[in-house]
Amino acid sequence: MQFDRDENLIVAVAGMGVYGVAPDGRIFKVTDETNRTWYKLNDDSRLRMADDLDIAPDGKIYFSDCTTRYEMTTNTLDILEGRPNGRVVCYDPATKTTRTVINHFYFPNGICVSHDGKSILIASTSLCKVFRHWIDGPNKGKTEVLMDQLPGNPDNINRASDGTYWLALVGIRTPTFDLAARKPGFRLRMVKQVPTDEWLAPALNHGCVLKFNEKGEALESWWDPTGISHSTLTSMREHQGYLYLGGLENNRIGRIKLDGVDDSWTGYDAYWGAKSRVTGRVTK
Amino acid sequence: MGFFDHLLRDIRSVIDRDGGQNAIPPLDGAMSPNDRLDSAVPIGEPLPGVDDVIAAGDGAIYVSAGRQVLKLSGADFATRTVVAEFEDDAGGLALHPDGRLLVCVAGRGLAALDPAKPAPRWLETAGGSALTGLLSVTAAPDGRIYAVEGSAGRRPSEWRHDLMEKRAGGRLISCGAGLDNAQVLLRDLPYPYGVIVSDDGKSLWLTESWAHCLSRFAVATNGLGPRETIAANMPGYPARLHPDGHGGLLLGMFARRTHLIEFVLKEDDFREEMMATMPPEYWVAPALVGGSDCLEPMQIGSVKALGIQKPWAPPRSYGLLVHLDAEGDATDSLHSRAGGRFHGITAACAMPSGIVIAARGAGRLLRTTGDLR
Repeated sequence: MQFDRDENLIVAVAGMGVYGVAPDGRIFKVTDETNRTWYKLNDDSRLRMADDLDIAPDGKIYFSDCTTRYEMTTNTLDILEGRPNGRVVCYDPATKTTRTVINHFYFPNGICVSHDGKSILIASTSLCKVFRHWIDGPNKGKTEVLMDQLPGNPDNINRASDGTYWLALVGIRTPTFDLAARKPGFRLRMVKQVPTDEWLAPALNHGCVLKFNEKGEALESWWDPTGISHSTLTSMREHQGYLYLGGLENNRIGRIKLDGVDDSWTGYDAYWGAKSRVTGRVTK
Repeated sequence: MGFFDHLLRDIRSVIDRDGGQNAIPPLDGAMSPNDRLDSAVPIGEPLPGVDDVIAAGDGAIYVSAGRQVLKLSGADFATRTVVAEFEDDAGGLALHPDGRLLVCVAGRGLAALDPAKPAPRWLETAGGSALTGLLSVTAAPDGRIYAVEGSAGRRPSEWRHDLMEKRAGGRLISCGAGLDNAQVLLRDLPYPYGVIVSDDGKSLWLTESWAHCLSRFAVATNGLGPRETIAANMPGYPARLHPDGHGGLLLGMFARRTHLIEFVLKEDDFREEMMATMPPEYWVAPALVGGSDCLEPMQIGSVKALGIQKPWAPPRSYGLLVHLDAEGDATDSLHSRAGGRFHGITAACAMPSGIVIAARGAGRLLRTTGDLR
């Protein structure tokens, strides 16, 4: 989810596409399809599982369609398959068109526009990497690895108030899952022979949020080693001195008081300047 | 595994339905899941490495924990005295009819402790090889001693290696009351863990963990009679057997079988690389305790939803104590399911004040007072 300049809440909805909620509560469709891959027999134009999005300074909405083969309920199969079935897609409100920016991506998940607005950061859950894709400047169009060999499977990325970024690790890599990741035949036979709930998975009962900088260096991490409060931690957002946490398997929002941060910082202001209805000059 | 291995396995599963690769049976009937083990009361402070527990005969109990054998006596077993301390882990215990305490000591052999004499007497070899991995010991009414070694030449702490290497190198040995004349009665067993001789001295019961089975043998003067399989394809890995005081038996199961472990046992390539490249506590293998280390293997059904792990989730570790009647049929069971507290049950003994259970995974001694069916 992200607010756009006009305070519409733009939401990635798995199985549907990208939708918006206007300040008055009206719901509207932003996009539900992208350009079809020309050589594919199977029409892959429909968005299968829009996962995370962010909005660039020019209003373009970048979002991840994490798999074109599976659904929300079966996306673990995509991780076990370990093939580049996902894509990063961009909706341009100026032309009202949707185009695939990066096709054949390994489970793209979190998307975050960098603080300078010149690149997007993309978390690849199955590769355990964070990529940077340049959308402006001399490197425009290039994709590079920003963080490699993460200890877990990254999920969402968001901006932090001090010019760095937050990253949620939904699962922690285990030696056995890493070994299975190197053995496609093993995984295929496991999916065929072992009941669904007994499949090998990364360690999902250990919530972790970490902070990293523009160079891709991890700075600090917060954990719930018990998984009681925050297992499968996927989302976090900083707002006015607190870090709010959410996960897939919980009915709760957690928060951590952050020390030494700007208590007035909000995500909206960081994107669109201090002009929201609450704090800015456009007070209604 | 290649294509032909799979084909052969499929053919075998049709023509040999009772072969080794049986499906894991569900827990039902007498094995129906419950939380009765979780509601058992811990006795005193934690006992790290608690392994076996037996009745001392005078209302007290003997417990092996780590390198020590302790005697717990008094009300609520609150008084702890160290009976013996060894240079390595103490395991199975038994009380000889003449009053001596028999202790299996890892890496060394069988010790017989006479209350009157400070130095134990040792049995260190049988059949020409050292008794490195003794797990359980029992004494027949006539004084003859029987003991099992899980895997010849391998210490008990390497039990995971033994399963994942698919070994069957265990032995059943016997010796005279004076630890003399030791002989190997059975060899090449898949991890024999528990052994007990019935009160009348006529039959010997044996559990084999990697074969998930319970067997009975008639005891003859010159050895054992033929094997009678009482329970095969059990849902867990059976550990020690102790009498329930009414002619039946108490069987601890130290872990549950899971489909993933059975699958990995078939996947030789994965299994061998797993064993070569990572520490045993991170293997896809049975565990006495689990869930706290983020590097352990996890199965997707074990995910904590709304803060709890579902009791029916595939268990990394499990607590299960089974009550068997005189014929060896399961009549009742106590469980600590996935997400529970007291896992890795290696032994239990019946006392007038209730059943005392050694939960090795939790490092606790428990007491439950409810009636067993």
